[in-house]
Parts: sequence; C-alpha cells; structure tokens
Amino acid sequence: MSTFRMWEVFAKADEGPFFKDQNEWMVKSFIPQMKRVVKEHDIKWDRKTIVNCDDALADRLWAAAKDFFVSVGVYHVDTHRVMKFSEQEVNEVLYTKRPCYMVGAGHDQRWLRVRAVEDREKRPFHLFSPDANFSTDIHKKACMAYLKEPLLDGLCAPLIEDFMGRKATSQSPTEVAAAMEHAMNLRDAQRLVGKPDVWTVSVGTAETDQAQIAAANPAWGVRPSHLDGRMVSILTEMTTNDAMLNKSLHYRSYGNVFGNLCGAIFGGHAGGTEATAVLQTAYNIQGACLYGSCWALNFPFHLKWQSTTTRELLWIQSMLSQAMSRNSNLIFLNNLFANAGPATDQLYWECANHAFACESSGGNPWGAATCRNKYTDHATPLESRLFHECSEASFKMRLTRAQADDLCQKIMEKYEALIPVDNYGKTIQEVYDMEKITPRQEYVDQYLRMKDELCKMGVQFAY
Amino acid sequence: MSIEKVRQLMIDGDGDAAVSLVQDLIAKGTSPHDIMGGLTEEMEHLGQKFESFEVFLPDLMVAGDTFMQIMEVLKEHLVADADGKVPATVVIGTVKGDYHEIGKNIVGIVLQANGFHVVDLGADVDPIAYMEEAHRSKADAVGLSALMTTTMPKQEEFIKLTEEAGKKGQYLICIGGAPTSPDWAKRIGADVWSFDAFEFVGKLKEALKNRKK
Ligand code: B12
Repeated sequence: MSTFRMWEVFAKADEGPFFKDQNEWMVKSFIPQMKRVVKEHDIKWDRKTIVNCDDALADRLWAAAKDFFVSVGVYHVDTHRVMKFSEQEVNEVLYTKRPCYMVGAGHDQRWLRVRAVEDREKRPFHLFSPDANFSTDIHKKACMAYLKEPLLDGLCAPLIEDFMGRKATSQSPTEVAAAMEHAMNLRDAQRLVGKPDVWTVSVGTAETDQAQIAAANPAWGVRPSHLDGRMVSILTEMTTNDAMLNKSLHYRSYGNVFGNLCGAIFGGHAGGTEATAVLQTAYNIQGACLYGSCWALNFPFHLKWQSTTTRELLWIQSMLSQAMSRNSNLIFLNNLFANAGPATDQLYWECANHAFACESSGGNPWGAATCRNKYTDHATPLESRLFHECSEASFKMRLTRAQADDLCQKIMEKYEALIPVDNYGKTIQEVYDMEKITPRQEYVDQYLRMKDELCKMGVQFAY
Repeated sequence: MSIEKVRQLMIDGDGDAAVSLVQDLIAKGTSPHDIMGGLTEEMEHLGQKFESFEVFLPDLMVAGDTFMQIMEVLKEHLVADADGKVPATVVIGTVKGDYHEIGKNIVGIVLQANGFHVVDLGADVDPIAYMEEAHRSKADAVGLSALMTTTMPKQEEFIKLTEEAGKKGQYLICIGGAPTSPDWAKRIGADVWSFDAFEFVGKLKEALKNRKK
C-alpha cells in the first residue's frame, strides 16, 4: 500500500466539484479531456501490431494516462462530486508505492512484484482464476482442482450461485451466507490439497461491502494481512461510490494485500483502441490514489464480445504493461477473458496468445476466464494450465517483444475469424472426473496436442 | 440545407450554435417536425455506425446530449402543432445491488438515438423507485437491467410488486442483461426481453404497437 492518507481521500467525495449526474460529467469533462490527451501525447495504433516494440510510445502512454487522471479525477456517484487529485498528490502516491509484497505464508509464500519489460530475472506471478460461477454442489471440488495446479502462485476461486437451495440474492442474507460458504469451502480445499497458506483473492461471491466484511474471519474465512488478497472495483468509467470506499476502508484496516479491479471497455465510454489504452493505464493510477490498492487487475475488454483476446485488446494489454513497467512501481496483473469455452482448440489458442502478448511486456497472467466470462460451470483448470505454462515458457525463453509479436501474429491467425462465433465448449463436469478431481484422458490428449502445435511454432515449454 | 447544418452541429456537439440555428430556422418558418425528423434520422444513422464500430459511444453521447438541448427548444413548438406523435417514454435502470451500468447505458443511448424519451435511474435501483418514476413520468415501458445471477431475482420482485400494486399492464416491463434469457423472461412474466440494445429497439416498437391496438 502507498502511504497516501486515506481520510484526506475520502473527504474529497464531499468537497470536490459538483456535477448533476454522471452523463453531464462525461460529456463536459471525460470525453473532451480524453480526446485532448490522445492527440497531445500522440497515441497511435497501426491496427496490426500486437506486442509493442516502441519504447517512446509506451512512455507517451504513461504520460497521457497521468495527464488524464489529474485532469479528470473520479466521479463519485453517491455524492455527485468529482474527487480530484493534484499532480503533487499523484506523485506522492507513485513515489511511495512499494514495488513488491510478500504474499501467502509457509511453503506457499510468494513475492508479488513489479516486473521489467523483457525481464530476465523475475518470473511472472501465476494467479489462477476461472472468473466464473460454479454450481454450489461442486464448488469445493472445483477449488481443489484449481489449487492442484503446479504453477499456481495464487488463486481467485470460482463464485457460487445458491445457498441452501435458494438463489444467492445481492444485499440479502443469502448473499452474505453464500460469501461465507465460499470462504469456508476455499479454506477446506486448501488444506485438503496441502496448500493451506496459498494467497487467495477472496471472495468473489461477496459482491457487497457488508458481505465482504462478513466473510472476513481469521479462523474460517478470509484471513488478514498478507495471507489473503481482496478486490475493490473501479466503476465504469472512472467512477466510484460509497460501497467501494467502504470496501477499501475495510481492506486497509484488515491489512490485506488488496487490488483494484478495473476494465475499460473498447467501444465504450473511452471510445477506440488508443483511448481505451489511456483509460486502462489511468485506472492503475486511480486505484493506487483512490483506494490505496497494492496492485491492479486489468481487464480491458471488447464491448461486443466481452473478451480480451482480440487484436486491439492484446495491444492494449501489451502497451499498458510496458507503460507501467517502464515508468512506475505499480504492480499489475493482466486478466484473460476468452471467447471460446473449455475443450475447444480455439480456447487454447486464445490463452496462449494472451500469455505471449503480456509476459515480455512486463505483465503477470491472471486467468483463464472463458465463454465471454459469463457461463456457469464452463471453465476448467486445463485452459488455465496452458495459459500459465505459455507465460512461463515466454519467460524461460527470454522472449523479446519482437519475437513475441511474431508468435502472436501467427497464433492470431488461428482464431481471429472465429471470435464472433459462440463456441462455448464443455462444462467442468464433462471435462473432469469430479470424483478424482482429474481431467479425463481425451481432454489430456487434446491438451498435449495443443502443446505440440505450439512447440512446432517455436515455443519451448519449461517442462 | 440548413437542417443539414443542424445535423452537423449535433454530431460536433456544438449545442449553443445548434440551438441558435434551430431558433432561427423556426422563426423563418421551417417546420419543427422536419427538424426533429432530420435529427432523429441522423441519430439513427449514428446508432448504425456504432453497431459496426465506425463511431464509438462518446460520439453517440456527445450527439445525444446536443440532441437533448435542441429538443428543449423544439418541445414547445412540437406540442403546438402536435399530430399525436409523442415519443414513448422508457424508464431504465440497473436493479438493486447491481452496479453494472454499461449495458443499461447503451440501451439508453440507443433508445434515445431512436427517438424515445429515456429516464435513466442509474444503478442499484430499488423496485419501488422504478414504480414511482414510471408513474410520475407516465412511462410506456420500464427496462430493468441485471448483470449478475444474484440480482436477477430483483427483476422478478419488481414484477411481483407491480402485480400486487395493481399496476401490471400499465406499462411494458422489459428486462435484459447478460445472465438473463428468454426463458427467464417468460418465467417471471416480463413483456419484452432482448439480447442487446439494437434488437431491443425493434422489439419494443413492436410491443408498443401491439399494446396500442
Ligand atoms: C464490466 C464488468 C464489471 C465492472 C462494471 C462497471 C460498470 N459500472 O458497469 C466492474 C469492474 C465495476 C464490475 C464489478 C463487479 N463484478 Co462484474 N463484470 C463485468 C463484465 C466483465 C462485463 C459486463 C459488461 O459491461 N458487459 C458489456 C455490456 C455492453 O453488456 P451487457 O451489460 O450484457 O448489456 C447488453 C445486453 O445484455 C443488453 N442489456 C443489458 N441491460 C439490458 C436491459 C434491458 C431492459 C434490455 C432489453 C437489454 C439489456 O443490451 C446491452 C448492450 O447491447 C461481466 C462479465 C460479462 N461478460 O457479463 C462481469 C460480471 C457481471 N461481474 C461479476 C462480478 C462477480 C462482479 C463483482 C461482484 C466483482 C467483485 N467481487 O467485486 C463486482 C460487482 C459489484 C456489484 N455489486 O455490482 C460476475 C457476476 C457473477 C454472477 N454472480 O452472476 C460477472 C458475470 C463476471 C464473472 N464471470 O465472474 N464488473
């Protein structure tokens, strides 16, 4: 966490300039300022490149993002005021931001840290996360399946939908109870697979501030301090509310190594590719200044496909990674949302491409979410495994950005035309034997075949 | 020709110039209906371009904002020579407990671009607030967006409440959001469901037409 003063920040929500509603602020401030910074800082994409090799452009993106954040601030939807941060305040946060945190404990302890562009020393941090809902009856086993993954450094577990036969309903006792059950399942699963002290980013089922607070309990739930991570969202676009500030207050006082969840939308309020890159980079600065978050999870995504693996979005991930790695101590992870679903070749191509687009740019893999990030039970550890193995391979091979771009262009050919197709694959119950919690043989064969295909393209896996 | 100029000023987001030109045109005898027709056509055109990503949301928002400024001027004149064609009013919002707003915002902008009058209640909207606003603004339809399985039940709750309050049928109840489906809509008794904002415009127009019959 930075040393930035929490209460001075909260006060901004009551003192900043007033705008009647978000739309007025968007039209009068956000949109014209975005147009200005993209032009002034000369941010341009050639519509082809996936992995950027232009350092000056990455530095301009950083400058544009900082300029944008200082000019626009954050709109607080409950008080209708803009929380503005001066350049001096932003610089203080950026200077005092720690570049590295110890997370987890015992034999599951890891370092979460800033990496460099084409980093030759620091491995990527492998955060596994299906970012999906799983049926309550298989939730604990699904957590175990993910926890078994060899490369796993941390886990963000699947969410549950029901509690005692009732749909978990936001802001009601069922949501609070489902969040508690989620946390308990996860603790049990960790012990049962021999990874009791893995750092988990907990708990997604808790949507509200009160459910997050209820699930925090050192004995059976979310643990304090460096033992667990939490998340607080930036509302779209560049807004916040009291519930989010409450979450950040709770996470800070509970001591967690928490992050901010941020996804700018390509085609949404920012507009096109260049502006989305500026906004997404600015979100990382916003998270550190507004919430005091220790890291950020980046999921800039496509308005139509709700995925992050299209050409423009991979370029955005590569750009923001380089902009931050070259210019700041901000820690971040790159979130993958694929279009396709489990047991499809397309999904594996998408996972590989996301990994190769980010690693040499200084990124850290978080994933893998499938099926445009919205289908229950449609995710398995297998696609996550390939995603993380590719990221590790990229590091082990010391892949340069130019080589990564070459590879990404080839992989893109395999799936670019398929993006609009709904190809949602199979459920975890079909792909895994949920008794043994292992993948069924035919899907292991498919996995190995996909690895072979990648080897033929020049990928050297770590093992 | 001058209506063309207003259309361009609307795209550029130059509200002040557009409003003064419109006032001029009306003073010189141009029909306010023709002006509104031209602007609605331009908004529809922009909506189509957005669908194919030739323009993006900010372009639509800036034009939409200017459109609303011009409408403030046109409104009085339109009432004066109304031919019964009042735009339908739709109250929209994301349900209680849910802060996912983008989809709902797009629905709002696309509806506006297609000539609807939209009242946007924002996110985390209490069922009663929709009901009160629908009553206040004499809404023709209410649109409830839910992006999470945990907030879909709020759509059902709204429908139950309108039934209990004897208000079912006073306006169309429309629902949407990624986890919802035609089955869910049918099960809870919603009048209109659609996959996205563009499909919604057609379905809503159709449903409103059928309702009037
Ligand atoms: C962007 C996003 C966010 C942003 C939202 C920003 C904002 N202010 O809107 C942020 C980061 C804030 C966020 C926060 C959270 N999110 Co979220 N988020 C998403 C994501 C990736 C995309 C949603 C989106 O904007 N899509 C793009 C728009 C254009 O599509 P759309 O909304 O579906 O709208 C279209 C149609 O559905 C339709 N439509 C929409 N509304 C309506 C209404 C009517 C009447 C009609 C006719 C049509 C219609 O038209 C629209 C346009 O064409 C989804 C995943 C997904 N693919 O849906 C997860 C997702 C919805 N989020 C999820 C979760 C869990 C959360 C958090 C709880 C995370 C956390 N632990 O903090 C919080 C929730 C806070 C809260 N209480 O709401 C889960 C929900 C799981 C569940 N229970 O079902 C999802 C599914 C991701 C996942 N797989 O885990 N999220």
